[in-house]
This record gives sequence, structure tokens and C-alpha cells, in this order.
Amino acid sequence: MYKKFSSFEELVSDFRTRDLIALRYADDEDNLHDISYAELAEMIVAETKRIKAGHSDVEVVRDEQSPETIVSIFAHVMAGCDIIIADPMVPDDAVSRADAAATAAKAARAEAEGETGSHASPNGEGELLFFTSGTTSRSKIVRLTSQSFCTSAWSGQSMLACGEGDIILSILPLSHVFGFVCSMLWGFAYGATIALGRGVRHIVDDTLFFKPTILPAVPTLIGAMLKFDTLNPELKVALIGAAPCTPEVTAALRAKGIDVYLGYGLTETSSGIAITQDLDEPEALYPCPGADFRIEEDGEVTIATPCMMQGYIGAEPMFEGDRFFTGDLGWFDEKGRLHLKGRKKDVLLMPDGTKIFCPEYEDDLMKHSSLPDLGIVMKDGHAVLVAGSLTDDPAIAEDIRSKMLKKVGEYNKSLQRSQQIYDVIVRKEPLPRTATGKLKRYELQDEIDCSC
Amino acid sequence: MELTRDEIKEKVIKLIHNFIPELQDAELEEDSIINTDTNIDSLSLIMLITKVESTFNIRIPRKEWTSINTLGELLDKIEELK
Repeated sequence: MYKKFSSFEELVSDFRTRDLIALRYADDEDNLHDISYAELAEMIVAETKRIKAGHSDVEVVRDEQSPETIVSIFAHVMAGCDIIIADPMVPDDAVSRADAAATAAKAARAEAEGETGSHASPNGEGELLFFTSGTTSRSKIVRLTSQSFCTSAWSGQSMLACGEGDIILSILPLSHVFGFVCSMLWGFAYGATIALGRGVRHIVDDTLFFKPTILPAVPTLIGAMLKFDTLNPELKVALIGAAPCTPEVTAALRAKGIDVYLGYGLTETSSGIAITQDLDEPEALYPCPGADFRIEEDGEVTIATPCMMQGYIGAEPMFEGDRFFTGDLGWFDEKGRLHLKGRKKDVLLMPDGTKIFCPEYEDDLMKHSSLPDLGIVMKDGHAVLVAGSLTDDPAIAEDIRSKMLKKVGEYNKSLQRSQQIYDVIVRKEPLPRTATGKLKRYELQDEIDCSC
Repeated sequence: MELTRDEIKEKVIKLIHNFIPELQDAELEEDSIINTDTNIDSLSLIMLITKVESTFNIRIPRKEWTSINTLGELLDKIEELK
């Protein structure tokens, strides 16, 4: 049975008892450096004391993938300070808005609870605030706790164990819960060494430099490592999450003798809540301990879990009792395993783990087009725009497509690559909509899937 | 000795042919679009940029990567930073 920590303070106290390497990183000349668990604990405690002296309610920590970032995250939370972990590429104004909203929300909560201090979370530590997506303007801010993250690390360990002797390569952003838990906290909790990647320039070949035994990654990244043959022979386990993985990638990893685990989770659930186990059923998900899944009448997956968020900042979560509506459609097989079959909501999950909020794209494109009937869906791992043209004439349809491709080309310039629109499909029928005019995206997606 | 633009172009095209399998036979001109998923996926672009940086001993700031769309723009950037 693995120890379940209830706070970062308890976890960091445990660090002091270990004679193991916690962190491995490279300097600018690619010289390797190690930090032991005991040393890391000292650094965190010293920083916690410093922060307490000049206490602030909410702090932004830019995810620089450095020992300093990690120390700062633990120390701020232990000092009772809420933190926003933001990707360096998120614009300053978006982070400032989030900071202001989080500060106001925290003050409102403290007032409502009749508190004067800032220690409102269950274990007295600060909250960790994550964006549901790093880039879209409609990204939500999710309130998570050190307790929910420690529970998430424990439940992950119960399904897939790491420990002394393991090296976990940390190349995923810590500003994403999958990266935060699976490429850092999980390893720290159970005595593995976290090798901090050297940055985006080495994201594909850090495997050969650090020689990890466990690699948490998104499908796009694993695909690139296979393509450039940069997976190291010491690698035993690939933990793939944040987006669906193709069977070809899974098979290629297994052919190299690497065990493949696919995780399913949400920002709102502090990362993973289910994971694959069976080699013969690579997509069948087993719920993590405490994760209670249910399929609603319309096929939507709902979840109750001890790792659930405290709520959003500035938005109402989709709860019914303690059950959270995931927006994913799924079904259970006869063995009680969960299978996912797509999204019900208006969010597309791209293979690199980023998200597209479809109505935002559709609204923007409709403003710059004479076509009112547009929808964004997924095709071959890319976002595509589907337009209802109401014409039987192929020449007119092609003309519409050509004009839309130009507009899409312009629009794409403002988007990061994985979130760009890849193609335009023109159909003669109107798009499927509800009586109130809302796009039935899952029906449109089914049609596109069937036509492939 | 300073490389001419044609010499830089030749070296970059060789890098693309060697490191981007799907473009190993492609004929590339200065207006060829390289920064798009139809030609190079985002991680292959990272690989290409790191190879370009080490070959020409330059550092292209990360925030400028997305503004490089064509082979010609990549050559401009190399000339600017050399």
C-alpha cells in the first residue's frame, strides 16, 4: 500500500527522510546536476519562510521547467499563497486578468467564510490555479488543491507504480495538470528522479540525453520521437495522456518493448482518473481508486472523485450533486471498463493536448464570411471547417471552398499550429442543428468520421 | 568567410532533405511554405530549427518561430542573425 499524502507540507517532510536523487537537470553547457530529496526539501522550506515574510494572496509562477520553478510552486502553496501556473507563451495581459480575477475571488470567498486570513483550502495551503487551455480566450481557471493533487498522485501510483531507480523525464508543461502530476508530483511522491527537460529545442531528443525509464507524453510528441528514432533503450514505460493516441503509435511503442499506458483525465479532476491496463484491449480504461464514473442517458460521462476541483473562477461548473459533467461520450463494456467515443461539448482535443473552443472559431469566421452555416469538427487529428452551402452545383461549391480557404488562411495566422484549421469541407445540405439553431456537433462529427 | 544567400539556401535545403523524411524529395524554392502542417508538423519544425541553429551557430528567439512561414523567410532570419 502506498502512502497517501494530504498536503505538500507532509510530502516535503517525507523528502527529508529519503537518501535519493529528486531532480536532475542540465546547465547551459549540458553538464548534468543532481538535487537530492533532502536538499530539495531544504530549498522549499527556506523559500516558504521567505514568502511568508512578504505574504501575498495570489502569485503567478511562470513555468520555466527549472528547479527554481518547482521550488517556487511548492513554497508558495505551503506559504498559503494561491498560485497561477502559466505557460511562458500565455500573454501577460491574459495572466494579469486571471491574477486579478483570482485575487478578487479569493477575497470574496474569505469574506463569505468570515475569515480574515488567506488559508481557506481544507489543509491550510494555497490553491493551485490552472487554465483549462493555455491559449483560447475562453479558457477557464480551475481551482485545485495540494490535497487533490496528492490524492491524484496516489491514485495514479495505485494503477501504475514508479519508485526508486526510475527516472521520469519531465518535458510536458507543468502548467498543464497532466504534466504537473505525471511528470513531476507522482515521481516526487514515490521516490523517482525527475529529469527536467532542457527546453523546447530538445523536446524530441531529451530522451537520449537523460535516458528516462518512464516517459509521460502527449501523442504528438511520442509520434515525433518514433519518427526521429529518439526513444532511448532504457525506456520501460510510456504514459500517454491529454489526447487520444492512435493504435499505430501504441503498436510501434510496444514493438520496441515499451509498455504503453493511456491515461484519461481532466483539469477539473487534478489529472488522471482512469488508465488502460490490458495489452489486448489498449483503449479500455480502468477507473482509478475513488473515481466513480457513470454514463448518463445521453451517453455523457459523469464523474465523482476525491480529486475534484473546488470550482472555477468566474464561471459555474457543470455539476449535478457531486457529479461533474465531462462533456465526453462513453460506454462501459461487460467487464465494467470505460471506453470513450468522442466529445459532446464544443471543445476539440487536439493530439498535442491543446484544445479548440469551436464556437469561438465559428463566430469569428462567420463575421468575415457571407456563410452563416459553419461548423468546426475534427478530421485526421486536425480541425476542419464544414460549411453548409445549399448548392448542388459542384463549381459553385468549389468556389465557396476556395474563398473560405483564403479566409481560413488569414485566420490561421493568429493561431498556434496545432490549433489551425487544416481544411474546408463544403456540403450541399445545411449542418445538423437543434430546434433552437444550436449545432449538433457530434452528429456532424459522426458524418465526417463515416466519410473518411 | 561569409556565406552567400545561395550557399545558405543550399545548406538549409540539405538539412530539410536529411531531417524531414516527408520532404526528402521535395523541390524547395524561397517561396515554398515550410511552416504549415501540410509540409512540416510542429515538432519537425522544432527539429529543423535546432539543426539550423547549430549549423549556422545562431539562436532564433522562440517567439519568432511562428513568423517564419517560407524558406525565404528562414533564410532572411539566418542572414539577420549571422
